[in-house]
Amino acid sequence: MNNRFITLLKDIRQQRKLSAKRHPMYQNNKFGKYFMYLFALIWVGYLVLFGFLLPSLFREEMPGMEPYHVLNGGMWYIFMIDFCMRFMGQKLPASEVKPYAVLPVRKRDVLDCHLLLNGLDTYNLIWLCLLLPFGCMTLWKFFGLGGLLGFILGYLILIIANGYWHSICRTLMNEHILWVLLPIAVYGGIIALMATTKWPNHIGMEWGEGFIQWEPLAFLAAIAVLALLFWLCRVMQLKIVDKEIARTKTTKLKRVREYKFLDRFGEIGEYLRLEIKLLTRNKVPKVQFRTGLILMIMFSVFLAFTDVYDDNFMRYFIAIYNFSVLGVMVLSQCMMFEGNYLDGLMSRKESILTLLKAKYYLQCAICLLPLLVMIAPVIKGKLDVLDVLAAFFITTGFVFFIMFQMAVYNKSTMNLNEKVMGRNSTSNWFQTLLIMCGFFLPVILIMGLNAIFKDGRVSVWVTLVIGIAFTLAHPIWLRNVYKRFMKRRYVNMAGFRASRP
Amino acid sequence: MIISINNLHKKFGNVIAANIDNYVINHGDMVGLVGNNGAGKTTLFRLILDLLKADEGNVTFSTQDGLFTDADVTSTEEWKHHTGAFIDESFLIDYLTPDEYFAFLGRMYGMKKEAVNERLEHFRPFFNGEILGEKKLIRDYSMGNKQKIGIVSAMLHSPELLILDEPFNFLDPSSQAIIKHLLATYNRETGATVLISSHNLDHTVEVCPRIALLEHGVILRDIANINGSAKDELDTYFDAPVQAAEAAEAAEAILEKNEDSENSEIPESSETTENKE
Repeated sequence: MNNRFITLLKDIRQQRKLSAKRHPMYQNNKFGKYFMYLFALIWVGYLVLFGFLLPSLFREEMPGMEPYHVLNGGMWYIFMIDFCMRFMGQKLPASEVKPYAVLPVRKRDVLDCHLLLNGLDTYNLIWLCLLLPFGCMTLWKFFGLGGLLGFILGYLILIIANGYWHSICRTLMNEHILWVLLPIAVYGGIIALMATTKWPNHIGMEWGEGFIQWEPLAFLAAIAVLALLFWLCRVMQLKIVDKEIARTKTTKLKRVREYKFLDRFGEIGEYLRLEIKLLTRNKVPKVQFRTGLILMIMFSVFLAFTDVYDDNFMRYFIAIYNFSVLGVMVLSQCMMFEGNYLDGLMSRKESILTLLKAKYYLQCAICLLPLLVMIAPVIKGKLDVLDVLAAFFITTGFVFFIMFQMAVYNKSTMNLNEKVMGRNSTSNWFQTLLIMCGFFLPVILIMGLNAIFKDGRVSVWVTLVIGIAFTLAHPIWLRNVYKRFMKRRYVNMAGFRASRP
Repeated sequence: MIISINNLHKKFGNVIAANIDNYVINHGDMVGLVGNNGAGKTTLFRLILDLLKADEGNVTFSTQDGLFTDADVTSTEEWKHHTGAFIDESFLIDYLTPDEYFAFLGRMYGMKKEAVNERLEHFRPFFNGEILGEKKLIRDYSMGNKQKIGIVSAMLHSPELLILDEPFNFLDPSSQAIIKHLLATYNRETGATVLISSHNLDHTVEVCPRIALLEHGVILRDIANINGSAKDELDTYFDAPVQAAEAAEAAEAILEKNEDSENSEIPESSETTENKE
């Protein structure tokens, strides 16, 4: 490495630090900053806790095996969790090269710097919070400090390699969403093999044992995996860099849909059309919608065909969750997408009120989807029609009433097409609180009423009545939201402007 | 539409963005706002359009037909039907195609589809065949074409007050010529009040009979521009820093020259000193 490369590495490291420090999420949202610290602290706490608890748990569950053998056998789970966690913050090197494209430095060097820094990222050390206490409790007495260090070092190499594997998958996913099937197939395959042949467990056990015993072959294998994935990642990123630099993001429209049936609804119909296009033509809302739909179907299937959610609380929670999830996802970010073009909307009379109405009607219409999905649990006798109707109306009434309050308080613009995970995160404490209220208050109400009245139907009827009342009152509370939005408009508009990409 | 700016003040931290005691733009006026970067042009437009809260003072609108008189822009929304504005990209809904966007705006202003199409025909030369009928989202257009879409979106419903921030930006020379013609004709034929800002003095002088010179939020001069008479005054004002710099450079050069000649007059002594050293 020459001096020039080291200087570049230092500069890029400094810029990455500043980029993280000056992220709009932290600058505009103190809660976001503390929430992330808290989240990191909780995560670290969990890992340390598991590090201390797992040895005794493994001893109890698998008395014939040493706990470190069990952990080594299941090392694939650690890599799987690590892979998912990396969606929260790991950047793709190719997208970071663009600002250097016209500077007198080689693109290849810039890319190498980013790849190296990804490998040296302190995030990779987070698993030490689990491995260190676990190793101290299980390895020390047999292998001493040397064994512990070998164990930690071996895992660290594999975790760094896992980071490059994540970058490869993310790059492919950016090219086409169907590449998401690659990590699913790999990790799913490993789990399936673990359940059937057990040979991933054996490989893990042997490999881990090799680290502990400082067997050169174990480390050579780990380093070979790391080198291979680094090389693959580098080749792929190099190919992508030029494409990224020349990228013009063009959306190909095969057919321009007009949704003519909406004409009959006048101005609200026009905004409904706008909402539908917002949801269908932009990456972030589209991905959110798909995710919500998958969650909804998944919960319905679990409720209908398994007995894991058979207790009353979970039954009602799933019923309300299924109806609310799509609405809550969209409405918790109410006006944040519109922040991209709010100045234009605000220069037209009462357009925000019409927009809010259109949002409400669209979300009510979307609630018909869970109505179909919930047929399975109804047929299976897990819920009855009244339960489903109560969940439907409490969502269109009370839950939406709660979530529409976000229209008054949201003031950060959300990028319509940047990736959902990580860098677009703009949540705030009020948003989180309202989401919790939306999901849990109706269930708490039902459970509370069930505790008071012996007849379980009373709670469902009360929920239904409250839901219908809030639904019918929607013109009143939507106007109230609009009036309060207009009172806060200057603060909100300044916030939207400041956070616009 | 008559715009009255009354004791309008706006500060961002310590920076004064607007500081206007009294300024009236009359019905049918076509005013060009000129000033250096940070003069407060866009801020003034945002204050006029109620997109920003003033620290003090207000902006009122009055229509000629008496529909509203001295209506404070912050307390009513009625005026929004009568104004059209394009400040920047944040006015565009970029996931729509231009046709969809114009149709959407048309309906917002109560225009029928035929009326929208008829109005768009008027702008066809300005679009240069690149905008209408394309299956392309606004976000995928070039900056110049986005500018065109924004300008036409503001003019679509023939507003009584038209506000355009830097309308000549990003446009090619032909489009600049067309938009100048369109704006002048629009003002003349409809009697609408037109307010534009620009860094291009030539275009502003060519098209605006009245020019306001803005610096640090203050309207320094309100210039009647008859047959381009404002050109010299504006050139003198904006050239002043250059002239001052040139004068300073010239003075410095004279000083250096004098010093050189003084030095050259005593070559022996300096040489003697060097030799001694």
